[in-house]
Amino acid sequence: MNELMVHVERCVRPVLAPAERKDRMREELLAHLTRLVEEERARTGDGEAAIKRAFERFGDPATLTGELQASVTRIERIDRIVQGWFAWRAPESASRYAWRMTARMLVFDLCVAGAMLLPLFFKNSALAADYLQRWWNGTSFLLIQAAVMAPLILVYFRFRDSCLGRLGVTRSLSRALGFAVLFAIIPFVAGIAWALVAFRDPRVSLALFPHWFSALLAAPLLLCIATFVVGKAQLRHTEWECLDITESAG
Amino acid sequence: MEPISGDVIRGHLEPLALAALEQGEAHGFELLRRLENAGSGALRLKEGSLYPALYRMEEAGLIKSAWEKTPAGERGPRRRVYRLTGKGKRHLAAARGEWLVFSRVVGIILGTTS
Repeated sequence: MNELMVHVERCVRPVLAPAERKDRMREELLAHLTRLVEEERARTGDGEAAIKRAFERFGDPATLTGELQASVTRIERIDRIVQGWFAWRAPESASRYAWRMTARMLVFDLCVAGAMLLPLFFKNSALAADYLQRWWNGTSFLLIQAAVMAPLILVYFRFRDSCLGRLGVTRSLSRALGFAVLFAIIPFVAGIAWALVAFRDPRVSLALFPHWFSALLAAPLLLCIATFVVGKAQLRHTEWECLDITESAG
Repeated sequence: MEPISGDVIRGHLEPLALAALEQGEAHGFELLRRLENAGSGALRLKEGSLYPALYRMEEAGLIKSAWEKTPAGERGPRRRVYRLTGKGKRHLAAARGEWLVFSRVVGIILGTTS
């Protein structure tokens, strides 16, 4: 199967298209190639020769790449470029991806915070102090949100791999449960920290406590939904993207 | 008879695939077998080339597709089943009309049709 996957991946990987579109191409082409090999094996009885003949019938990867690329619409190409900014890129590690996202979010947040300072130049000093306080509330929220991004992404990946048991990780319910608890605690603690930093008054933080408690309950639910709705597709995508398709492979 | 292959087929692949789908829904592998049988083995297409054509036709709304339900316990890659849409049927009828005109005109020029 790996040899067939490598051949399919040589056709699909260079195509500039969104991940879901490429995964569909991969699965469909692999199903076809698998049937071709079965057909040739039944005809010749020789496994190696069957694969070689199936590859010939399937077509040259470079030609097929061009044909597949031509079937991708302009909107899908734009979608792929946007995905390139936010999505995981093979072969980066989970931690590198998490920190890359955090850095992007931080730059974006600082730009927003900087832009929100501009109206200050047009306000009189009495209103400016009030505006500055509200600006600080918003900015501190953005900064704390950027700070928790990396741990949330990392815990999500660990939870997903523990639940679905792939990419060299064995399935473990107890480990998954541990990561779910950790995932719930992060926004809870971040919420309390934000209230303390923004208002510098523990009473405000206490008053907002029900909100953080809601986050504590909602976070594991969101984690489960994300894992079971998109987790399997993400893992399949990762397996394809990490295949070695150099000449020495397959 | 010399097999027909390469660009000659590629230029007509979309109406050929639509005609094959007229017999009923099918996945890519089955579609190619239908085309081969209908052409009595004279059509030689690089099989992977069918899929870009299917994607283009789906984008144009000529066909629709869905993943085939895999029987419980069966493993391996899933297949996508394609079916003709109303727009696809109209497109096929138009392609048939164009082909009749084209083949008659070319036949007259080549001296194969009186």
